Amino acid sequence: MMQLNPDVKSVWTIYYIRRTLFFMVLTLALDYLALSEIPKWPFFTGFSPLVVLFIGLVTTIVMPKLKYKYWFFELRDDELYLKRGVLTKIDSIAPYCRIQHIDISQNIVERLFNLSRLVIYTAGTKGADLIIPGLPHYYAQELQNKLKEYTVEDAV
Amino acid sequence: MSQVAEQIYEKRLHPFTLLYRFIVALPNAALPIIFVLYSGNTGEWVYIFISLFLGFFILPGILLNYFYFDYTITDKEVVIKSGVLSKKERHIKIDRIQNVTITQNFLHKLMRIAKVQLETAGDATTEGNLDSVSIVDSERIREIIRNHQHGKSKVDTNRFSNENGETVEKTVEEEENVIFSMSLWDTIKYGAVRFRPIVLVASAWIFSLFSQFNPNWTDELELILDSGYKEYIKQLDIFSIILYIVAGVLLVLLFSWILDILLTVNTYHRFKLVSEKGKLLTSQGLFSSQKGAIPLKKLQMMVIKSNPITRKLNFYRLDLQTAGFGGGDGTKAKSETAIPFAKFSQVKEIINKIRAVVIPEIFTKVSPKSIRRAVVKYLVFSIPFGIALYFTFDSFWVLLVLLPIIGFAAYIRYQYRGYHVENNQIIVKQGFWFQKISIIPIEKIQTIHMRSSYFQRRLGLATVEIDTAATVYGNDASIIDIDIDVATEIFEELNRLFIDDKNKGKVIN
Repeated sequence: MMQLNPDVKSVWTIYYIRRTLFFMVLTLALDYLALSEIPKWPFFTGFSPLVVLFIGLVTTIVMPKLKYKYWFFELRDDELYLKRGVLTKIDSIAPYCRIQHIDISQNIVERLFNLSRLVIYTAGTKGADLIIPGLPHYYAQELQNKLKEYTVEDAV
Repeated sequence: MSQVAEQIYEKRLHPFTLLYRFIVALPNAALPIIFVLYSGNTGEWVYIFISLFLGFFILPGILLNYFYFDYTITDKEVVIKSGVLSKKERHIKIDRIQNVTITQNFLHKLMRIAKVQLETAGDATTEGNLDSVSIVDSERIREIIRNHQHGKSKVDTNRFSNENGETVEKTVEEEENVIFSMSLWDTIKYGAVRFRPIVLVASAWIFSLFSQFNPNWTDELELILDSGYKEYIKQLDIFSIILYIVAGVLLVLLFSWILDILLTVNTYHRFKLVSEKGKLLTSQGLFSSQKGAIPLKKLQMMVIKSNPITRKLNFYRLDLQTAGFGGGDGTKAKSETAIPFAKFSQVKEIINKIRAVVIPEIFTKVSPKSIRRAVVKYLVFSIPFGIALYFTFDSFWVLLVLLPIIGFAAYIRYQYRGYHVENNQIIVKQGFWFQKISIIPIEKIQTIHMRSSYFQRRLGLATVEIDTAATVYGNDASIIDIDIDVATEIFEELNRLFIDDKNKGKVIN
């Protein structure tokens, strides 16, 4: 069982901050435009963004650490095995012969920490996007090459 | 025998295509009319504008497209040439054509033409679309492609058809291996027991349009709310209101029942399932006849469906879910009905023609703790309903009525859930109102997931999800709420079975 690169915690922290800010703006707009129109709304304007800020702060501090702690992957003999999740735990198996192709992708935040994401595509409809985040770029390439060897063009 | 008779060379579409396309294009012409009408100027120039629009854009477009479009079918490939300014030539290799679908909508039927679609296994975009050719041609194209694929020439029959159509028709029918068909009476019976919620909703909507409901009911509601709604409710005659509601509901039900029968007859009239080498062919329909093909190689999942009424009458429906022609493109997955309505024994018989499956009498049950989880879930979902009840009747005791209903629903859900893991397939059963028994071949597994939410873990439960290339509806292939240990076991077991199956295949190859 392998863990992700610890730097991924910082990436996730930035994601959580971004998400918190987004929802704060959203609730602020909601507060001004809709909630304040309700005749007997018991809270002051700006209350719901504060609630969002509080929840956001807690999750931003706690979640990245927990997420990292519970994220594992393993290259077994015949299949790729992923185990992750804090509140909802998900174990996934993708047999190598089912992998159609593998992408390495990197967004701006990940580039800051020199991390990459491995996106594994199968023909499946639901779990079509198995993603291993937070891998050092060279390692992601190594994994991609390793997995590519197994990938067979298999008819559905 | 010469191969010449088996080819079609640079043939144009049927001339009625022009008329068809013109009629189809008319709604587009209606768009400018709407704009003009809304702007308020309803002078005579409106009509001039429309005719100009039609004359300058639509008609030449249709004409040019028609005259610059032809198709060629040889023993190796289908070539479709199109384009006026930028020419396009699409070559489709005969071997790669998976599927020749012939469809007719109402207009097609009137003009006795048909639309032919060639579907390939490769890229989702390389599809040939011949809209429209004459019915005779559509059959011929299908026949030619089929013959080339089978590598045997049926030149005599084809040549024969030019001289004497009827005799050939008969021989073709004799060749067809019909494994299931429905009479008109069957179709009516099927429509009578379907009770589709969508039809119910639609008929309720239509009913509300025709009934004497005040269209400005929102304004009225506001008035009632302003004037103290409790007094308003008290002064109403409860008995007559209930009578009204009951009568309305019954009327809607009756209407939806009849509508469903009519729609079903329209869709499934003369339904026929024909078995052919490697695929099943369906044909159905009254006003718009549909022909479809289910390539058995691409079959991912078989689903037996029923509702409480059909179960009582021992009638079931079989859907076959196939992977998309686009390979990795999940959106192309589709579900086709192989049997709309048949006795369970007959359904089993036909399933066994496709694949050796023994549907167990008794399924392994999910964890009884799932009842507890369902109760909590339903309680949460019924909060808005409960609030509404509380405010209308002004008493807490009414809420107690909800409890047995929720408990019973949760129990029923548990009772109707089950699964069965075999060496070469998994069978999952779920649902009371819409029961589904899904049969998933082990070799079609793409990925396997085991999921347990926070609430599930508190009860020691987990869900095993099996993903194939054609999971058309969300949870069909999920074993929901089983003990975590059992789930882990099944999760690993399924993977082992899949890998074993793959390795077996390798040895044979």
